[in-house]
Amino acid sequence: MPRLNFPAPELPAGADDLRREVRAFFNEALRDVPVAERALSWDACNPEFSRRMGAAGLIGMGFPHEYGGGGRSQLERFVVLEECLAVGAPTGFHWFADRQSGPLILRYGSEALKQAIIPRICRGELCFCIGMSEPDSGSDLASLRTRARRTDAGWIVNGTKVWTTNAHRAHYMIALFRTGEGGRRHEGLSQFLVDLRNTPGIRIAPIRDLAGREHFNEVHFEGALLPEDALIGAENNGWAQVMEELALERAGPERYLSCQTLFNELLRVLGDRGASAAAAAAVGAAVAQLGALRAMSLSVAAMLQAGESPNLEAAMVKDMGTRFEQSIPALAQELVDLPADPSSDALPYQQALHLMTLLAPSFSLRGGSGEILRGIIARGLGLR
Amino acid sequence: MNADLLLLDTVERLFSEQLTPEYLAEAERSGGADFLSLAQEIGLDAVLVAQEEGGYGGSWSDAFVVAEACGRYAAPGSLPEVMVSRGILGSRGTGDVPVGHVPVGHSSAEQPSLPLPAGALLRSAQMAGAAQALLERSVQYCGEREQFGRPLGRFQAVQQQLAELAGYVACMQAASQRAFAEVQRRGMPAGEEDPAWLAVAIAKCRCSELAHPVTLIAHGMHGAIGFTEEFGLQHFSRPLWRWRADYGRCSDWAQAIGRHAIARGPEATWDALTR
Ligand SMILES: Cc1cc2nc3c(=O)[nH]c(=O)nc-3n(C[C@H](O)[C@H](O)[C@H](O)COP(=O)(O)OP(=O)(O)OC[C@H]3O[C@@H](n4cnc5c(N)ncnc54)[C@H](O)[C@@H]3O)c2cc1C
Repeated sequence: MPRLNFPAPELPAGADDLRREVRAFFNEALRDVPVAERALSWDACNPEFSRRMGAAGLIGMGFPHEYGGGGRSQLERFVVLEECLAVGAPTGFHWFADRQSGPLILRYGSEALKQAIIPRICRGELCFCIGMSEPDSGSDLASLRTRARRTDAGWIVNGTKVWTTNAHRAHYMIALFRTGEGGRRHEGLSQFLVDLRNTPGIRIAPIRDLAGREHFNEVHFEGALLPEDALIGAENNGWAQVMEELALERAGPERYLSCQTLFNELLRVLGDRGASAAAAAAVGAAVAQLGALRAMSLSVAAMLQAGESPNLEAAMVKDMGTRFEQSIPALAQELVDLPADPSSDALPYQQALHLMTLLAPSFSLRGGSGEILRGIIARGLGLR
Repeated sequence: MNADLLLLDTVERLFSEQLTPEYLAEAERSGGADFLSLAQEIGLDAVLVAQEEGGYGGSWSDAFVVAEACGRYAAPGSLPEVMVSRGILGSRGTGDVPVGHVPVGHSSAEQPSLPLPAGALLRSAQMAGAAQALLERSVQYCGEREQFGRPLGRFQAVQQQLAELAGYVACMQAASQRAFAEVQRRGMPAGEEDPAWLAVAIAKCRCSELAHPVTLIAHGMHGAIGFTEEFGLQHFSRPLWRWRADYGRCSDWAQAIGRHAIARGPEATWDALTR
C-alpha cells in the first residue's frame, strides 16, 4: 500500500502579487454581478465576463506563451482559480476549456489546431462541453455506444449524449465515441473535437434541472459528418486520454468551493446577528475542513506540476471536497433562522441559500459519483 | 516544503528495527524510557536545534517527519515532546516554556507540557502518523482475512469503508504538514493573532475530529481480533483517543476559529486561509 504523503508546497515568488492583482480585478469586475450569479460561480455562464477575464490574462494561465497563454505554473494557476471561486466569479463559460479541453488539445492536437483554438480559449471567446455520459452509460462510462464510423468522407456519428453541460451554448464538444469493433470495452474508444455550430446532423435539446434552470442537454448525433482530422490523439486510445483528463478535473479547488458565496454570506449574517458558542464552533469546524481540503488540493497541484499522476490523491480531494461543499446549505439552515428566498430583494444570504440547496445534490455526481471515486481510491490502495 | 530524505531514512531504519511488536508490548509495562535514549544517541531530539549549538539544524518539516513516525510506529516515551521543547528553547532543553494565552486544553499527565500551539502542532503529526498506521494495517488485514470464501477487501462495502478511511488519513496528513510548513515560514504562534495560528488550529481541529471515524472504521474492519490486547491495534487507536483531547479538543479549536471568522468576516477569513 502506498504511504499517503501530502507535502505542503511553497507558493512561487510571484504568487502574492498575482493574488493581489486578481483581487483588485474582481473587486472592480464583480461590482454589478448579482448574488444569484455569484452564488453559482463556475456553474454560471457569462460570456461577457469571460472575455473580460481573458483580456486581463486570467484564462489559460498555464498554457504556453506562444499560444496566448500565461506560461505560469500549476501553483500560480491554482491561486487564480481559488480567487475566482472565493468571490463567485461567473466562470462557467470558459471553465471546461481552461481546465481540461485546452490542456487536452495542447497535448494531443495538431499544430494547426493548437494555433486555431488555444489563443481563442485564452481570450475567453470559446465555450467547450464534455460529451461523455449517455442514457445507458453513466458510472459505467466504458459501456458507451455512440459510434463514429470511418468513411472516405470523414467520420459519421450516430448516437446520443446526455447531461452535457453547456452544449446549447458551446462552440465545441470534446466527445468520447466508440470507434473499434469487439475487443475489450475500454479499447475501441476515441476522442473527437466536434464543431457544434457548423456540423449538420446534431440536435441539442436542453434539459431543465430541478430548479428550473437549463444548463445540461441531450445531444443527438444523427448521421453527423465530422472531418477526418476531428480525431484527437490516437484512434482507440480514448480511454487512457479521458483518465488523464479526469485527474485534472477532480483535484481542483472547485471541488470544495462550490458553495463559497453562500458560506461568505453566512459569515456576514452571523456577524450581523451574533452567533452562539455552538454556532461559532460549527462555523469553525467548516473553516477547518476548508483549510484542510485546500492543503490537500494544493499538494496535488504541486504533484501535477512535478509531472506525477496523482489519480488516487485527486479522487480523495473530489470525494472529501464535494461532501464538504454539499454540507454547507444544511449547516447554514441550522445556524440562521432565515428562509431560502429567490426573490431579488431578499438578503443575498437567502438568495444564495435557495440556489445552493437545490444545486448541492449535483456536486457529488458531476465528474464521477462518490461510490465510483471510492472505488478508484480502493484500487489505489491495492484492494481491487 | 520538503523534508530531508536522509533524516527520513534514518528515522525509518531506527524505528522499524527497534519498535517491534515485542518491544511495544514490553514498553507498555516498562514505559519504554530507553527509546528516548536510543533516539538521543543519534540526535533525533535535537532535530530543531541549530548546528552551531550542536543540533541537527533541521526545519519544522523535518520535525514533522520525526513526530509523524513516532505516531506511526507507536514510539513510547517523550521523544516528540523533548524534540519540540528543545526546538523552542534551543540547547537549553526543557524548562520554563512560555505559554500561549489561548485558555484551552492540557497535556496528558505523564508528558512534559508544551505551550498550547506547539503541543497542538506536535499532536497533529503524531495523530496523522497513528492514523496512517491504522490505515496500513486495515488494508493489509482485509487483504488477508477471508470470509464467505474471499478476502474481505474484495467486498465493495469493505472497499468503500477503507477508501473513506484513507480520505480521512489524507486529510490529517495534509493539514498537519501544512501547519508545520506555516510554522517554519512564519514562526511558532504564541497566540491567536499570530500568522501561523490558523494553520495549527486547523490541523489540531481536523485531527481531533477525525480520530473518531478513523478508529471506528479501523477497528470495525478488524473485527474481534483488533479488540484484543495481543493484536496491537490498540497501540495506535488508544493514543488517538487520548491525543484528541490534548492541547485543545476539536470543539475548542473550532470555536476559536469560528469566533474569528465571524468577527472578521468573509474577506479577512479567506485572506487568513490563503496568506
Ligand atoms: C449537473 C450535472 C452536470 C453534468 N455534466 C456532464 C457533462 O458535462 N458531461 C458528461 O458527460 N456528463 C455530465 N454529467 C453526468 C455525470 O457524469 C453522471 O451523472 C455520473 O457519471 C453518474 O452517472 P449516472 O447519472 O448515470 O448515474 P448512475 O451511474 O446510474 O449511478 C446512480 C447511483 O448508483 C451508484 N453506482 C453506479 N454504479 C455503481 C457501482 N458499480 N458500485 C456502486 N455504486 C454504483 C452511483 O454512485 C450513483 O450513486 C453531469 C451530471 C450532473 C448531475
